[in-house]
Amino acid sequence: MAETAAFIVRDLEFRYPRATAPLFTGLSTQIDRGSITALMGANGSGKSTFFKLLSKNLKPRAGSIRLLGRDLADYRQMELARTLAVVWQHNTAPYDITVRNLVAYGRIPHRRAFATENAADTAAIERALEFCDLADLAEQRMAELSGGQQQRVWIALGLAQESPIMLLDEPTTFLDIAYQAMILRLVQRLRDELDRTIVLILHDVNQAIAVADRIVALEVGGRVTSGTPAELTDEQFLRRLYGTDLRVLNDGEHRFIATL
Amino acid sequence: MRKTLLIIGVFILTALLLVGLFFFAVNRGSIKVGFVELYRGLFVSYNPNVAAIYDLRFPRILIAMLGGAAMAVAGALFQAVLKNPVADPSLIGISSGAALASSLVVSLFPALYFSSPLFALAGGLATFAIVYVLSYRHGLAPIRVILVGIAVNAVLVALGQGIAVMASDGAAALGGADAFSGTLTMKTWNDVRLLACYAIPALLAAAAVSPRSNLLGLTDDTIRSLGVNVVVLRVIVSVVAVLLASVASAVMGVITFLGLIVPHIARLLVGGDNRVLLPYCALLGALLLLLADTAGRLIAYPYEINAGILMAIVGGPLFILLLRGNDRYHG
Repeated sequence: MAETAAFIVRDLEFRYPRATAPLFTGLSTQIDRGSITALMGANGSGKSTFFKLLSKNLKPRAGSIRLLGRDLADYRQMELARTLAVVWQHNTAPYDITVRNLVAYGRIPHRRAFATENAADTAAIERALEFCDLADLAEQRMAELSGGQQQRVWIALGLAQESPIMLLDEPTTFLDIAYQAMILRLVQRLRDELDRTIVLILHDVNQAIAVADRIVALEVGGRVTSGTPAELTDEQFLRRLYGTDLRVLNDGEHRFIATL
Repeated sequence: MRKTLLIIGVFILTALLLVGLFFFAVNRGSIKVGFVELYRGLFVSYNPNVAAIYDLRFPRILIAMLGGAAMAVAGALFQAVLKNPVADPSLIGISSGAALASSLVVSLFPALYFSSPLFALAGGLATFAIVYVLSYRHGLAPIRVILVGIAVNAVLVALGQGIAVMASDGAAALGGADAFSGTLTMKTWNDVRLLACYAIPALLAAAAVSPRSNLLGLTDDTIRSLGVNVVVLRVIVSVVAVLLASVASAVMGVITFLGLIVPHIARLLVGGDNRVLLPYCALLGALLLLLADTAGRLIAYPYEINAGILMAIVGGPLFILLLRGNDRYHG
């Protein structure tokens, strides 16, 4: 039977070394394959921490994370990189690297050390460039690109890893609104056309409810609620989640959260 | 394609300059021989002039080339591993730590001469560990690395000078003063063998790590998400860099700024890809240090100006220029 869950999280507990109380305890949720899941929560609710736990950058104190049916702790580093691509919010690139050479780094998990690019690598790199609409920019240097173009390169790098799951850390933050829309459409196409499972943190709640199939909401104090955007865009729930009054507007088709 | 041709051209030109300078350096000084005479003396029949050149000039020329290559490649690797465009093994104390350790060992236990680079490596690694730990606070801010390195370097230089004074017979008894002056005079074939024995494998190791060292331009989070162990990568690249700088310093003393200037010029000429940059740094480092040593022999003839002094005089102002113009690296 094919595994339908990308992640199954059971009774997760995490506490930072010098913190007095755990950030969360008993966190359980499931993330389905082929879906877009957004992590939501106020500052300090632990969504970044949860993101780092899912990407194995932090270790839980208790509980388990299963990735495609296997314990995350059992994945070796290279194997994990073939299963899970992470696009971080903050990135730096060597000053004169070209787009293509940067995207080619995505093939490292598929290669032995010292091996050179083979035909499968070349094909994957070209597909990733094409998909992110970067084919014309392939020989440009990163430094010459706009913020939105650079963000697409980082996503293409993750795409070249050809992993079934992609984790995106605030992919739209610091971008102009036109680029934000472009990136969100790209994320949807990753799910629709390439059947990728996407987990992302979005700073903007309206983007989260617009793009996500499911939302995992973390409350300060450790409670977790997950559901569809429609289920969670409830004024009472939002007050609990963010600790302030927010209005939900509805135009019949979409819901919007108004901050004022 | 045009870019590739250009880079190949730069390599060939630099190599030709190096070969030209080599023959020029061989033939400049109190003894002069013609090219044919040199060739015959070396390979056909004995010639006292050629023998003197072979014993006196060849070693220093080869040491300048190998040592210059080692320092330049070390500089490029330090800049990658510290994410710091102005890192230089001699500015941040690595060379001093290495020179101090090796000169102490050699003067106290002369029998250990041939393993002195290993003690230099220990001194260099210890210094690097100290600088790294002291300057690490939520990451490595370039300026903090430099400041901490300068402080550590000052202490090490003072220690070396203090020890040299205490050993009242001075530099003869203890390499102390000698170790910090960066000179290539009085070098023998033994020094060449010693340097070659450690520097050539270290340069090959640098070539081997060059593709992976490119990844250090990315953030640690991203490197890790590509399945690469960042800590291991950083340790490997650091050890190769420290080894190169330490071995060079053990044999030549401290040569400042070479590890800074050469990678910078090299980046302008061949770009920032370490697979190309490191070999070119080796070539250009060899050329520049041989140039400094040869110029030092000639400009105040019959007196000699140490290559280390010339490098510092030229390098200091260039370092300031680099500090002022390095905004583009923060982007």
